[in-house]
Amino acid sequence: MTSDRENGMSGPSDFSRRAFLRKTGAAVAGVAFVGLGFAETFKGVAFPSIAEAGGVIMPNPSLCIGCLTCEVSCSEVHKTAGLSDIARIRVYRRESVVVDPAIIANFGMRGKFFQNVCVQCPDAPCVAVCPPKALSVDPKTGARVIDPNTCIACGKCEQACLFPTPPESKAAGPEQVGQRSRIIYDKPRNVYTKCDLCSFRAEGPACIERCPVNIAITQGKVKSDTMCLTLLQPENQANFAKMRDQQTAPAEATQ
Amino acid sequence: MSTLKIEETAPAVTGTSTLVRFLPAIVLVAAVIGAAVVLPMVGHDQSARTWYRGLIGGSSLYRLDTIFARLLPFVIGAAIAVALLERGRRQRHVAASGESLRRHELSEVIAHWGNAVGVGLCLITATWLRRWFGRPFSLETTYVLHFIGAGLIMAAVAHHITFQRVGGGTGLIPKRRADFKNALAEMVGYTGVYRGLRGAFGVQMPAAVRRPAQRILRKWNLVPDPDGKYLATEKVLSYSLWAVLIGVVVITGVIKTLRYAVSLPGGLLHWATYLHDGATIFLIVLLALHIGALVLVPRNWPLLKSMFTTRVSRAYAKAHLPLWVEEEETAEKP
Repeated sequence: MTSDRENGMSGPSDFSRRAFLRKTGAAVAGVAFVGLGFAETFKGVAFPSIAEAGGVIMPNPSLCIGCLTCEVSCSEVHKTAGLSDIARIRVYRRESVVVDPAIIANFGMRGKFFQNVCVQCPDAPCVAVCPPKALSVDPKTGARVIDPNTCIACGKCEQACLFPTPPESKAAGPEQVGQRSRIIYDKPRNVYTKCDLCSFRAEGPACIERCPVNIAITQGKVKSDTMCLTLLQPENQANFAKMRDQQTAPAEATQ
Repeated sequence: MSTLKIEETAPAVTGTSTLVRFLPAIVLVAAVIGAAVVLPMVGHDQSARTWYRGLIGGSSLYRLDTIFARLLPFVIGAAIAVALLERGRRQRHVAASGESLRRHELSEVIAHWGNAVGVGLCLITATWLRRWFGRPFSLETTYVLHFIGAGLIMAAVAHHITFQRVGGGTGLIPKRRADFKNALAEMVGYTGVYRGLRGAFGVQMPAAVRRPAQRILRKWNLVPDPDGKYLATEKVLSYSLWAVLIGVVVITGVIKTLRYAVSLPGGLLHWATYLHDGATIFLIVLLALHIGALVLVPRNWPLLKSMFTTRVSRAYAKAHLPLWVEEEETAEKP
């Protein structure tokens, strides 16, 4: 026989006490959830603060000869370290770049290029948005790094990135990886990847170390991303837009 | 036969019980107001000077996560309140006519289909998020759909637990060992091995095969016993599995959502994501089996119909749920 209980019913004597307690318990739970909702809604912004990056790759487009050494080095050292071999720094053609006369004098007019790499934003939206917290701040370099073992390849970081890239048809190299921002999808490995400032290398970023023009002319790593912080403040929207659109670094910020 | 209603005995009216009676309505109103202020509050937060580009966390996706995290408690609170209000005015309908029996409450049916739509939305969008079959919409649209689905599931689960808990529980939880044996026997029955019990596609094994097979099954005690209101397969292989998998998805989903409200350790989120995605795969398999058992086995079609109409025919119930019919007929006698 199916009992009253099985029918979802309680007997009259049961109703007065046990059912009353059940109803009260459920009502209290309802109050608790709604209270939690109000507390959460009115507590304000919940965005966690993260440590600043110790440095940022800030290449100077006017000095780039489009040799792709940075791309190849990046790919090589990451592959050797067992990581995605997608180049985190990509060279694109851009007609608006003014090539330094010293470059033309030494290398001839090879074209107009600019280097595209993560700027390690101070309030990195990619870190904030990652569902499984695959993105974290490397304690040594402060780089925003993606743990490939935790990444679920949802693409939120790629879309949250503030720095879109030009169409890949303008890439200087032959590789086509479908890059849309500074965070790149590695389809064969099904993970996203980005510049990690070569945190695993004692020598620092391979692109800086191996750039053939870096020794002779200024190109390098910014000591502090104070500039980046300043540029990203709302009152500096014009500078921010300039940085986003032109990807040029002020000369005084480079060493 | 006319409708027979049995009124529940009202509790003694006291100050506390009056408060409890009105509390669900107050909670529901508060939840609706709370949900309505979420968007303006997020707008207010994102206009703060410290947030560059005018977006919380710098991206529209983070804004979406924040909205969902803030809406979810109100959705759960509202679902609990609705279930309590329904229980408060509920009367027991034993049978409405001589030809059919009410098997489900209307609110249970609504919760079931709400959950079904939610699970469907979440599963489809999950495949898009994981790029199993590409991604036809933008990531933002995909997440909006995923969150709508998740909200429907959360509301259905909160409603179901409250509705059943307050009412004294559901008969769908298997409590006897015989339920497991019966479920296995009923599954074997899908081959059409039992006389008079057609299996999948309505097949019945030829007598020459059926008789020796039945002898063996009887020896193994694998003959289905008469069922009560719910089939053993519904209890053991449907409700229980759905409860476990939906439970895992809901708990891990809440952890994943909490990530946008409070700081949580990365390891916890990693495992929550792993379990969330793993349970999703099992949910896809279970959904296929659930639909298969209803569509491919003609004798289960009346059960599918009852998930729309709330009722099954008396003839079906007598044939497949005889213990329940006995009880209902006993209750119908004056």
